[in-house]
Amino acid sequence: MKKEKILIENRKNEKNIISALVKGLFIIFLIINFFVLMFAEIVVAEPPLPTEFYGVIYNYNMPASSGTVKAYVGNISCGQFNIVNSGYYGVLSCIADDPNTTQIEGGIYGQVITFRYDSNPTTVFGDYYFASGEYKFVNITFPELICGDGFCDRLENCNTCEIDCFACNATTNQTGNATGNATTNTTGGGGTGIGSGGGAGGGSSGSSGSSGGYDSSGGYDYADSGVPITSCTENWNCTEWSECSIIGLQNRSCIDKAGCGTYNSKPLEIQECVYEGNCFDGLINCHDGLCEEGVDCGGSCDKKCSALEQPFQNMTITIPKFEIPKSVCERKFDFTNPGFWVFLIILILSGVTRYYVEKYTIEKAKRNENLNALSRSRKIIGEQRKTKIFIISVIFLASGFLTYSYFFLLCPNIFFEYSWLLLLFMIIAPLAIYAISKDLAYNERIHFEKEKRLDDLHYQNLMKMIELENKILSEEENILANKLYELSKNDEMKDIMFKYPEIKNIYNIMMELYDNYSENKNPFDLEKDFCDKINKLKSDPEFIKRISSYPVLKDIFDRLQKLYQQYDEKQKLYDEIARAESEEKASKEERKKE
Amino acid sequence: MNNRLKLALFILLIGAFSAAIFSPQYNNSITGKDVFTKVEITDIIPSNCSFNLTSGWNYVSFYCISSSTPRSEVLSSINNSYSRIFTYNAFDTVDPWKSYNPELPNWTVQQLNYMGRTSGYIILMTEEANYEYSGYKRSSIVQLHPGWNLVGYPSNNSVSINESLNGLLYTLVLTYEDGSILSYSPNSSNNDITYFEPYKAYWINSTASQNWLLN
Repeated sequence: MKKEKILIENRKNEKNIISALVKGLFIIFLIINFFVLMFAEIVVAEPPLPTEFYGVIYNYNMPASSGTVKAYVGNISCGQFNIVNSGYYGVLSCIADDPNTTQIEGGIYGQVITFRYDSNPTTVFGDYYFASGEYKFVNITFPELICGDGFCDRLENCNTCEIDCFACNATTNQTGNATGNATTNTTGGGGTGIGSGGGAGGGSSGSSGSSGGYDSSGGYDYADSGVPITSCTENWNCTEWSECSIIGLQNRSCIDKAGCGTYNSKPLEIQECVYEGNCFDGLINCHDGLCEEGVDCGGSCDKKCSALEQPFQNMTITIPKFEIPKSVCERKFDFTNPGFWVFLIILILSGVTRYYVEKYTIEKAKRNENLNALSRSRKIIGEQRKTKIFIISVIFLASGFLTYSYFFLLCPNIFFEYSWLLLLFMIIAPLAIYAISKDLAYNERIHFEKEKRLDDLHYQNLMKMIELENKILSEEENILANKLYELSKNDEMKDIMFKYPEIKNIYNIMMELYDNYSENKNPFDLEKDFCDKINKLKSDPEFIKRISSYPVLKDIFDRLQKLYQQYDEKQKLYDEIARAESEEKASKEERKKE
Repeated sequence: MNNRLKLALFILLIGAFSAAIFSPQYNNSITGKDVFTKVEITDIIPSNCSFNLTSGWNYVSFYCISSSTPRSEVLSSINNSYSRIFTYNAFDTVDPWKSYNPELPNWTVQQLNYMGRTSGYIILMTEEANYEYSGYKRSSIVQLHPGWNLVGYPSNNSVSINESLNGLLYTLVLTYEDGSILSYSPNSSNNDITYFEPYKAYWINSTASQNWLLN
């Protein structure tokens, strides 16, 4: 039974501790949130600078003279530019992603930027990575550089892409179907060619290339389907080569004067060349007998070079990197922050309040007379335990909060770097508080169990003492009763007993008491009656005077008086037992209440 | 409240509403619409702008230039000392950033050709330099667009941010100084800056389309 009781009590204690812990943690959580909100600075970065792109743009091997260049971060357009100067685009501002929003508006550092020319994909060369506040030189080629697309790009040749540029050994047969001039939309009948040249004599309408119209020599036969008959001899007429471009290529347009619609002997429209450079091409190069010292400056150019200009290599311009201003994180506590002092004052106030609450409760428990010693002690120790747990929790809370502030609130950009500390704290703090409170509760329980054991032992000792007392009393009563009985046979004594019937009553009571003690009973009423009768006789002076002349009777009466004193002592033992029992009952009721 | 009182109040409200709706309107224009005439009187006082620019990024504004002054004129005193300059026009939602880099080839089209006193500028200095410009100071209205606005502070007096932006709807003011972003929030007691200072540029996160008037 006792074991079961202890187990039930232990469970109750554990439940109480857990519920107290849950409450405590909830309060800690609320306080942390309160201070997090109070301390939290609005960490908002300014909109980052864009990346500015510029460069050369080719449309079917020709400088793009119009159209729109759009820059993309993935599928998001980050900026656009309408071509003004033929063959060049820029400055095209590609905006950065705004870190204050969840949406993606633009690029972030190091992200690849793709370009579209009039919504079509392109191939780019250069430094096409996003970097806030920097200028990037990127060349754009349209259409995309794909070997096998049927178009011999200026960057392809017979060695790198035979399928588009034909075999190298068939130089005379190489054709380039540039700028869309290779279509043969012959319709038959008397149509006219597009351009200034007019229609073909045989009624064909061979469409011209971008270089304009031409005169058709006419006279060729065409099938009904409009496909020219193979006997037609191509007669290609080409324009002059363009100036050598900065990427070392030059082009021209060739037109078949015969309008055969075939390209068997079409000459090259693009070739490699040596770019000589000038003072306004945005490159560092040598021309006019001197070499530039920077981009279009120094050497043969009049412009003075600035410190920024660097050699231009591999089609990219390297502009020195500058540190872009970002939200700077300084990890330091601002002691002038009023929030910090409010936090500190609240900590101190809560500590002082807890101290006074403990003091008041203990004083109240001490003054409460309804409480027995054990309950009082239990209450006082319980209060002290609560204070200890409170202080430990506050220390954990304060240290955790300061750590949290130090690593996270002031430096949100490295949140993930130190988030393990917060996680560790979140795991350790409740466990540590739980362990400490459990330890304190365990020590307290041990203490009370020890006290209770002592109480039980005391109770048992009292019972044993009463038992012993009863034994001694019964023996003494037996002796005295026998003596009284012997005395009652004497005639002289018979007179006295006749006059003092109490003696006879005492004798009878003693006999009855003896029987009760033999049966291990506690005859309180008889003992009381016995004591009353002894007192009565003791207060009678005539009786005292009379028995003084009878030494045997006097001796019996003296011993009866001592017996009376023993009863008194025994009564004190009974009182002590009653007190112990009432305390036990009270403490049980209190525990029930708790 | 008894029923009679309720009825009286109801009739009073209906009467007031009807009077507001049906009362004759006196118009002063031939179109029948009210005509408002706004007369703005501003003092123009000659003023010399002079401040120091440190090497690296600087957030600057120029209160003594007009609302549209050629860039070459505004930056003439620091030519060869800067490598790029940016501004942000919040009203141009398609292409808000405008920039100029003196080192780019001449075939590039650069958009920052004119500068204004109400705009803020982010300039990258290659070396420390002193800026000088002789112009005028005058009252200005800075137009704010919802969202971020990079604005100048077109005045030669420092004024409390709270006082200056009183009545305007905004959440944050930022500027950049000595490698740090400094902020001001009207709802925070822990602000890095509390005053607008001449020659500085500020990011203002406005929550409405509004005008900031500076006398």
